[in-house]
Amino acid sequence: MSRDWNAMAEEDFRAHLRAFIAELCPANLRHLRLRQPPTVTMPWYRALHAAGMIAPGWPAEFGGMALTPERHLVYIEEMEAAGTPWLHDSGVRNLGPAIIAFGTDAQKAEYLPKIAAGEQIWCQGYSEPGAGSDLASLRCAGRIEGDRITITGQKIWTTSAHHATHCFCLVRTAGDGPKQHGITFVLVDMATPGITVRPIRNLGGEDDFCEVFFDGATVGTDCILGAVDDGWKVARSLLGFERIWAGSPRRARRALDELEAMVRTAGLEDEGLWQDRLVQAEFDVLDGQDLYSRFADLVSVDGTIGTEVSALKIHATEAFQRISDWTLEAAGERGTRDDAPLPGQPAPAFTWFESRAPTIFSGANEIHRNILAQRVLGLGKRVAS
Amino acid sequence: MIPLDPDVSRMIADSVARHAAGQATADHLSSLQSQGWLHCALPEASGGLGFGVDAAALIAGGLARACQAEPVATCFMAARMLALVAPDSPPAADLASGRRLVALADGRVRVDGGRLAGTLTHMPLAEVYLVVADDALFAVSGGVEQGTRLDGMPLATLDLQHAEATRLSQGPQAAEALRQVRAEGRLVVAAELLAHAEVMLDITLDHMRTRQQFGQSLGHFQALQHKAADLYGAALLSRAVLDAAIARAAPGLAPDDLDRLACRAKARANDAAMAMARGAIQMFGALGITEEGPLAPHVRRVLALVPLLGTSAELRRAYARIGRVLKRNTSKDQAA
Repeated sequence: MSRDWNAMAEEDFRAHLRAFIAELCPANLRHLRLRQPPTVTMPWYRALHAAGMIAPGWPAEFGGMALTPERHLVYIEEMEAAGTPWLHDSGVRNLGPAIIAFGTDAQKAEYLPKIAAGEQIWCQGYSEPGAGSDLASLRCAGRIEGDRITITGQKIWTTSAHHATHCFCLVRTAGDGPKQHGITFVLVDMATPGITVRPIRNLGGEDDFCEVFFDGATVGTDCILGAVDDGWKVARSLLGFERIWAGSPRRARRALDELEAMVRTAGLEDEGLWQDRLVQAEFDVLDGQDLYSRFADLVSVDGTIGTEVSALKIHATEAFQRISDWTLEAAGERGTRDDAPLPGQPAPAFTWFESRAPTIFSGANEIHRNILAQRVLGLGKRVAS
Repeated sequence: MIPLDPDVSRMIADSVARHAAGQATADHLSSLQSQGWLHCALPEASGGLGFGVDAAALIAGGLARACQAEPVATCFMAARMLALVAPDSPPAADLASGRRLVALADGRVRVDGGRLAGTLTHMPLAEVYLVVADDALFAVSGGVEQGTRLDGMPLATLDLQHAEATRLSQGPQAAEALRQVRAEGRLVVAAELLAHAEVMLDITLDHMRTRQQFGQSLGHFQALQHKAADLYGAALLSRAVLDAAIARAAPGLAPDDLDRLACRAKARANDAAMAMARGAIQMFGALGITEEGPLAPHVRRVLALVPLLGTSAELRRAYARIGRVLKRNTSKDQAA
């Protein structure tokens, strides 16, 4: 049933993906700029699942493609080039690897097939009004009684919570000791009574993130991933995967396409300044790809992600911002109309708005600089993270 | 070219590191020669080891950590040129025996009425220069020392009208080889630049951990921590790019692909080394701008090597001429 995708010649693998996309991803889903609700994108998600292609990074035994890092990049590249839609796949990208690493056999059997099939859409309940960059100071409470855990508190900036069927969240189960201790990682069904979701509109005009209120929402303790009070360990491993993803060159690559299109639209393609910037942008993307491959290789060798990955996240997200700055500049007044972005068309202001978030989420880049300085370079006093 | 296997790589890296860690010898040149590091790119039949760009980058990078890499890149380029088009020529024998120093002279050369014409400046000082002109490779002698480079190395000028020139090889392969050797040379010089950047980073981090101000080490100040993190990131990025480029270049590549990789890798190494020079000096304060300070030889070397075979702006221009690879929607499928 599962096939060895890595054994295929790269060209065959690309051809396979292209043919598959051409056949099963409808044209009206291509090159969309806004993330569409799951009702729109789920048919494509399910088509990928039916073909065993929804989880490129998971091991084959859990229904994944088990792609090598290089192959995984090819996969992303082909999906991006064809403009396939942005899926609600946090379960596949973030939670799945954490369940594979920390889950019980029962949890693996319960969640992984449903994540892969798209029966569960997951959001990540981490940030709180009082705990953003300082995530470990979170206060949303989990009270354990017998085999039940009851959650009371608030999460915010929760991406796609209004579309999610489930939320993996960090709750405080013990208040003494270091703040990283006493945090528990819980898998919560959003249909549980006592959960309210309110979307927040972002600068780009999208309802992409939300506030989530927990008012005594109770689930079984079999929904706890990893050990009680030791959820920070799970969260950290998951953050590593998230940072690798945030560090992938795909956003900067898309921004480069847009820069090139805008330079042409504005008639700037013969100017030395813009030719040079296009090459600088291409170097940023290709060099970022080399750095990404290096980290991805390390992960595939020993399964863990070093703290150095912060450097990858910083490069990828700031390259995206540099390039989108240039696109906005190349556009000039063309970039000032407040139109909804059209499929495949440059939308410089929208991209500029979009490029703000990645330097903030998955740990603000300033936090990553702290991590690199203190934990990788050994400067100043050590902080637990 | 057959890439080095990991064991040989490790052996080279170890012996280079031992050499760099040892006392600088009075006769630097002959100690490099006796190690075989100046002519290892010649074929075995010509007295070399048949090594390629990966070995040269290891040797140059390792020696650069102790500011001892001169003239590895220069001799590598000469040896590689000879290996490709004139392996049995007298300059190959000179290089192999260490009798005379041979360098590749890269620059605009004309052939005027059967004689070479033009003047090449900013050349390394050598006894024999290899010059490509008019589809031929020439050996030329007669360089004149003219000034000193920022890193203390002598600079030579070569007046081709009045120089003795011997034709070593004739045919289009000379120009093709020059293009390849220039690209490989960029990778070797990039390895040196990055080594200097990495050493400056190490020195700077040590300084930040030990130097006390306001009752704590410099490393406690977040403003400086963030600068250090950025310098670390620059070195890490350049390392990823260079290692990937050398791994791809070692087995051989199409000329355009090799050129693109070399331009990109050297541009990134240039930028990392310059960022490190600026950042390290600032972190060291007044000691950073002291001639006897620990950074000085690295900084001067970096300023000398960045323009060699291309500043970043020159490399980006060269890259644009070959053509960018990430063109919009290159792999867009028909159905879209």
